[in-house]
Amino acid sequence: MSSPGPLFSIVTPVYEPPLDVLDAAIESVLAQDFDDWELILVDDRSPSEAVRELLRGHAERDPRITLVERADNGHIVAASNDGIALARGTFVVLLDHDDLLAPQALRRNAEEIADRAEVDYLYSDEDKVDEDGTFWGRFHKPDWSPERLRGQMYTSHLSVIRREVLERVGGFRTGFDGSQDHDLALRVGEVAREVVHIPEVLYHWRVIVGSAAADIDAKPYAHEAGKRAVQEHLDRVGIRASVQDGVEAGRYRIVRDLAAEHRVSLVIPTIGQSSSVFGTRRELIVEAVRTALQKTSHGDVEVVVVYDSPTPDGVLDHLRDVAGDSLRLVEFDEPFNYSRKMNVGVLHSTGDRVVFLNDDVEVISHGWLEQLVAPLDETDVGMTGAKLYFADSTIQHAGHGYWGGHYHHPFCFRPGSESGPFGELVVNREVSGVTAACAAMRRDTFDQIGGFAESLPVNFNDVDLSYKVTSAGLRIVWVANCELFHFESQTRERSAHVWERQRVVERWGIPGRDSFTPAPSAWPMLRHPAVFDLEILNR
Amino acid sequence: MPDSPSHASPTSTSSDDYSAHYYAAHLGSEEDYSWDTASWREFFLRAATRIVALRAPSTVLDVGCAKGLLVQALVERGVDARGFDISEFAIAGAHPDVRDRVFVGTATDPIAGRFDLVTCIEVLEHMSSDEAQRAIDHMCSVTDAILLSSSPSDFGEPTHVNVQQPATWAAWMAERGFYRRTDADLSFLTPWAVLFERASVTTRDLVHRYEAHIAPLIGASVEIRTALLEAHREISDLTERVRAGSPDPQLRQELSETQEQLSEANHHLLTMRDHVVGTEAQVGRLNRDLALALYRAKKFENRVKIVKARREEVRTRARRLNRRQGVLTKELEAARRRVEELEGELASHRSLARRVASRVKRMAR
Repeated sequence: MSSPGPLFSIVTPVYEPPLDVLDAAIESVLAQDFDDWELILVDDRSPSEAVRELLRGHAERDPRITLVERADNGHIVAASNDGIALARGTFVVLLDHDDLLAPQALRRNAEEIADRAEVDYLYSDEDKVDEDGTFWGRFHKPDWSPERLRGQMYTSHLSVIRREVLERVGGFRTGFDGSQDHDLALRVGEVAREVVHIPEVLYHWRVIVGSAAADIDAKPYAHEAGKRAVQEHLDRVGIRASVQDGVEAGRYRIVRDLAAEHRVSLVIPTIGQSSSVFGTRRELIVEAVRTALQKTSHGDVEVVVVYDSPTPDGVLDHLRDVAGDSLRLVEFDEPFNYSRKMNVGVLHSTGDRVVFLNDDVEVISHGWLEQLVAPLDETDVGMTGAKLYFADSTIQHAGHGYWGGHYHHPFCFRPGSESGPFGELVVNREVSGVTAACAAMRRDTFDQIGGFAESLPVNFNDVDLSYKVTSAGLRIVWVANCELFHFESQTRERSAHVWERQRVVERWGIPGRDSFTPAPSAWPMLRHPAVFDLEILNR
Repeated sequence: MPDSPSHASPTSTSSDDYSAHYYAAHLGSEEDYSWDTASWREFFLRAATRIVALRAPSTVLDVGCAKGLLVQALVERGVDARGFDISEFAIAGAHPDVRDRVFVGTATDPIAGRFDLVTCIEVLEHMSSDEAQRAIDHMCSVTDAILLSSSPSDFGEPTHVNVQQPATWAAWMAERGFYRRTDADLSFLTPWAVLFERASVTTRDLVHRYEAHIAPLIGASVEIRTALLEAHREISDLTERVRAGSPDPQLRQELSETQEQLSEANHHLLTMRDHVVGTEAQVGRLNRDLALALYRAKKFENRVKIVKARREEVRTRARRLNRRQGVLTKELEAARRRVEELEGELASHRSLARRVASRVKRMAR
């Protein structure tokens, strides 16, 4: 190209949309409050001549609009690639023929690009638009989340990709129709230097029954194509895992293999308490260890139990029966300090992978340990956490959320069978933090960040640990298919002292907005005054 | 010497036994036995230096000199040295520099001349017992000092037909009035080399001379044997312990204490790291807060500036208004006075009717 192109090339493949809808889409481009763009319309041999008439009219009136008329119907992949081939802009913007751009969409992207020299991919939030023009159902997306993208196509609209990168990865691939955008996002994500999320609605997705924007349920081939795209992505980046169907269409379960050479150390603090669970009295730690060992196929597992001196001898005997040679008992005779107990436990352990486990848990899912630990093979994953349920099967833990001046358990008390507003409860995803009731780390990471803060003996030590992991530039991944019961009392008043909160705030500041679990998407079915702050509702 | 009568003796050796093969095979070195080989040259130069230091001889005869390396080394050190050897091959191979100082000859023949020192290194063991006795006789007749070295143990070499212990050689030398210099250590040459000198020594002196060496040697030997025994016992004990894999209780105690200390140190390191990471985070947070506070302060500062400027403006206006008010007040005062003046003037010209009227008014009050 001799002349320098515009900043944005909007590419829109067109196939037989309602005329008013198509016109509205084009008008939403013309109405942008930013001018440095070109629009490339690719007619994919629509049966109606009227569609082409409309497109030609626009192309004649505005020199920034280019029309490509395909001689045959090549479907979305071929049509999109035709448009990309003609694009001259630095970035390619993907707009569907029946959707709408918000007026500030291009300007907001341009502003973010101006601030970041290395950005290769930008995506923003989106909502839906009815036939009567009502906007609803905003998807509050997380900041860049590679693991989440494996579980679902979450970046979607509006996607803005540096053209040079798009060409380097070869554009859309045939054979992935219906999930061609997911396949592209995965491939772009693999090579992008920086990916930016703009947490604003810049795109309205039109919902017309029977239109191309119909639910993915209506297109089983799209789900299969997506599954294949994710599997190929995993193979490309060297993650040993298989992709399985999620609980709903367009959601995928990533089932990883854990390399046999890893030694995994479970570190469990206890005082040997017994409690009534499911109507039966049990020694909590014994059941925790028994189910933990029973539900894993990994060979090299070490169980390090840090027990307070008053722990009954009988409990220790039962532990020996359950764990055998893999058991390592460490006595702790100091005043209660959860963090110190865990640090002592880790220092006595020998594994290259460390799993923190509370004694009041019971493992539910088979292969829990493999799924929890394997993501740590990715060097930029610093910690993983599990999906925890109360005894009544409602959600106890699905990742931490730090926003609005408080530390939250988002989705707490929701039914365990729920998927979450946008799959948050059924796909693996990046989170700001996880509870140490069940979490895993590499030993080198644990050492590097200095373990648990012993200045936080009771509360928030896992919050601080999560902040430390994140500040070291590492991701925290919540693993949806690592499921355990956590028999923490639902009615227990959480009594955190002001000084404890202050200690965390001193280091990390007052939480404002959560990067991965935006507050509005995390509203619980029930509100709990100690966990959820009414003040947030008024925002 | 081929025509020597003793040649028939089966335990005697002749020139043919010391061919190129002999020199290649039996001199204990991989390197070529010649002056041009640095290691041999340096060895003989060092030996020559020591010999000169020991006895400062002007003339030396090397009996059984082979290729004349020692002769050459002694010459280099300023000695008038000569030598002869039974091997024609060896003499033919002598270095050109000493070619005229060495000749073919056998030690069983009488020697001509007189020498400050005769050296005879690794020669006599190659001769039969009888020949060796004759050679010693000949050597003793031409000098008062003999440096004798004859291997006491190397039975493997086929030409070693007369291996004897140093004591035997020393006894034979003593028969001829030559005694060991016990103060001279000749191990730079061979471990068994001895310097014999003609002397008349009393039995008492001789005993003293040898006892002075034997006593410390016996002592040293006992000490060495004891130390060796102890070392051996320690080694077998350690070997046993390593095999059993069980360190003694004290070692085990030390080990567990060290492990405890290590664990504590690791724990300390962990908490220190937490402290550092936390402090760094705190500094970062404070910096952000500070930046925000500075930003806000700057904004306030600007607002204060604007307000101050406006205050100044208002003050200026107030001052201007004050001045204006002063002027107006003065003008007002002047106007009032003028009114009074006019009123006064008016009063002095009052009409009769007015005067009456004012009187009536006064009366009516």
